[in-house]
Amino acid sequence: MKKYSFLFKPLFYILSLAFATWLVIKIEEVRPSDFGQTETKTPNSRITKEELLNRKKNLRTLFREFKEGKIDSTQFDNKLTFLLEAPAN
Amino acid sequence: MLKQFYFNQFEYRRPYKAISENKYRTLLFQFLSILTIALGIAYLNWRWRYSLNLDALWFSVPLVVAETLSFISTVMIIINFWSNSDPEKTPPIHYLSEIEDIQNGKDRPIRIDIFIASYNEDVELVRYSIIDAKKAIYPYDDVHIQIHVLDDGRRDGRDPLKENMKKVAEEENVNYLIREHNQGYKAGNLKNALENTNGDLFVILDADTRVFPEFLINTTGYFRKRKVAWVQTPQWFYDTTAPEKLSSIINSKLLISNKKISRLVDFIFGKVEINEDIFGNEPRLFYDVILRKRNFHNAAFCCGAGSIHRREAVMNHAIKSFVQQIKIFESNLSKSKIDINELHNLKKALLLEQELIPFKFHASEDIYTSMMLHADKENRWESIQHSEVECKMLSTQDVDSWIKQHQRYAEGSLDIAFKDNPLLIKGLSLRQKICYFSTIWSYFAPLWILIFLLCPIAFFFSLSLPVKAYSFDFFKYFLPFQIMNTITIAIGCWGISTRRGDQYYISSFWFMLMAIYSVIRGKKVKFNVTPKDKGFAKSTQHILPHIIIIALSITGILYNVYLILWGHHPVISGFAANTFWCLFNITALSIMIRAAYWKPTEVKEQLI
Repeated sequence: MKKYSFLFKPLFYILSLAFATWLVIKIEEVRPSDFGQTETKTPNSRITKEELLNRKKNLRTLFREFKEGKIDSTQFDNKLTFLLEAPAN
Repeated sequence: MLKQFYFNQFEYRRPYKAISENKYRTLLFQFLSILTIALGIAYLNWRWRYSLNLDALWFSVPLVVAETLSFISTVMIIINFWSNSDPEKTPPIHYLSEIEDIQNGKDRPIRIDIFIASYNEDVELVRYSIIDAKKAIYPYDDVHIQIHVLDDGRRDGRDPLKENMKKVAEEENVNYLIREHNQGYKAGNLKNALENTNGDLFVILDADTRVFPEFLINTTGYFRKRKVAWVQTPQWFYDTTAPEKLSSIINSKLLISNKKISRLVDFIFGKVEINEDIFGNEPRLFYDVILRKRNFHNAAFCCGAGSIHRREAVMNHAIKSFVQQIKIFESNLSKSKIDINELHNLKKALLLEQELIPFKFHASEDIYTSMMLHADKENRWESIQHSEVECKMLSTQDVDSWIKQHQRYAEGSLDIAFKDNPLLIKGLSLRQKICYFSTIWSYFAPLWILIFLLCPIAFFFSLSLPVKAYSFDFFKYFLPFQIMNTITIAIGCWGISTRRGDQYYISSFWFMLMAIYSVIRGKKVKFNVTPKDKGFAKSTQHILPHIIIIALSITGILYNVYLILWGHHPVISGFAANTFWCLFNITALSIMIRAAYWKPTEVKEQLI
């Protein structure tokens, strides 16, 4: 073992350098979401065109019902919240 | 009966023990250093490529340049601290053949000279140094040890207005050497001494340097290695200011005479002590870490007092410089069209005119000569920084003297950078070049320190950020680098507090800037003898730049608080970051102000 002790230092430096490189790469990859913050998804990212049309149609119906006085402001607010928060299929 | 000085009260103090070597700590330091450099490169890469605020380039670019220059310092410090290599201690030498090849010459016990250089110091203060030098012990009676007082002040009794140094030397039964001019200042004084003595080794002491009895026993052994040109021992200041109780200071400043209130103050602040080494004179970090670790690179330079030299090395260097000078003059003469007889006569005159100069005639003669000896390709001289303290000295006792001393160091080192840049000197190894350059580079630090001091103020009044935003990305690059850097330096300086040094590193920015300005203007660097007595005047003028920066910082913070309260502040994150940074700057700058107004207890009592 003593025969190879001269290798210890170069190996140590190479491993340190490798670890430092790995650490820098990992830091580059760190995102706010890694600390519990949720990523904001753009509405268009996962919603299909059909779904978007459906939502548009529902919103239009909701506004018409409100305008015609079929629903009051509380019901309107509840339904609007429900529509906006509904997950994409 | 010896004359009593202020430092007599500190006679009981004993020096520190050198930090022991530890190979695992060194490996840990090297591992962390590699991480620090990698993280630093990643941070600066991000700073230059992605973070610059394009709307405020006037602010953004200087800051990133300052950060880059500061990082270069860090890298050089890491190279300096890379490893430890204390030389093996050996017993003191007896015969000349142990340190020199005498060939067929007759062997004899070595001769040692102890030089005490003096200029205008109190002769009774020099007497202390002579007495301690006389107490130096050596195991061999036939080794000739002679003490010489090198008086550059011509105080031999001819001028009744001056003290009589010659008389003190005669009373103490030591040799007295004098010269009729001050050419070359301390280097010239040493040259004169070397011309009039014949020691194989010689010790350089300042007027206030008091050696411990074992000085020679612990240092001469290194010269067994034929390549060792000099050994420097740590300079230890035994008169640095003692810590004071904060409660006592509050009581005296506020003139509290009521015992109950006084007791309450004591109860609250009783354990807090401040003002220890208020002038930041403790040089342990320099000798026990910076210079000592340069043993590994063979780049520890001589600092004058407390060093022991091989005469052969300095004289060899002097002869080489002499020959080189003659050659230069000769070639210049040959180029000019003079007839042969006249040329011959001029050459003769030149030989008589030129002098052997063992130590460079320069304000920083120690570092300059060290550099030249290290660069000697033929002899490959080596230097040693001895780890343990072998002598004690006096420190500067007021801000005025402190500034004079440090400005001289700075101007001397910067002058070398412009005249004989170590990076360009042939004969120095790459590591030696880096170490010498690192010393000189540290004197350019005020250029980036000034930017660091002004940046928060610029933000407070312009409300522009030097980065695009204090975003997640900023912190993800900045914090790992900064934290790792702090840990690495702490491991590198293991066992030594760097707090006071850090404070003075920042707060000396103005004097160092003046030193840079003075050298750029080509002003001749003067060799000012550092006063070692206590004077408490002329301090306020030195701290004016500090007061201005602190005042601007506080005004800026208050202005931004006002904007926040009225809901007009555009970047509150910027305010938070810059306020933190600003408070750090104020703390560092305040040390110089505190030092300028500091007075020792006995003076305070007299004033009251």
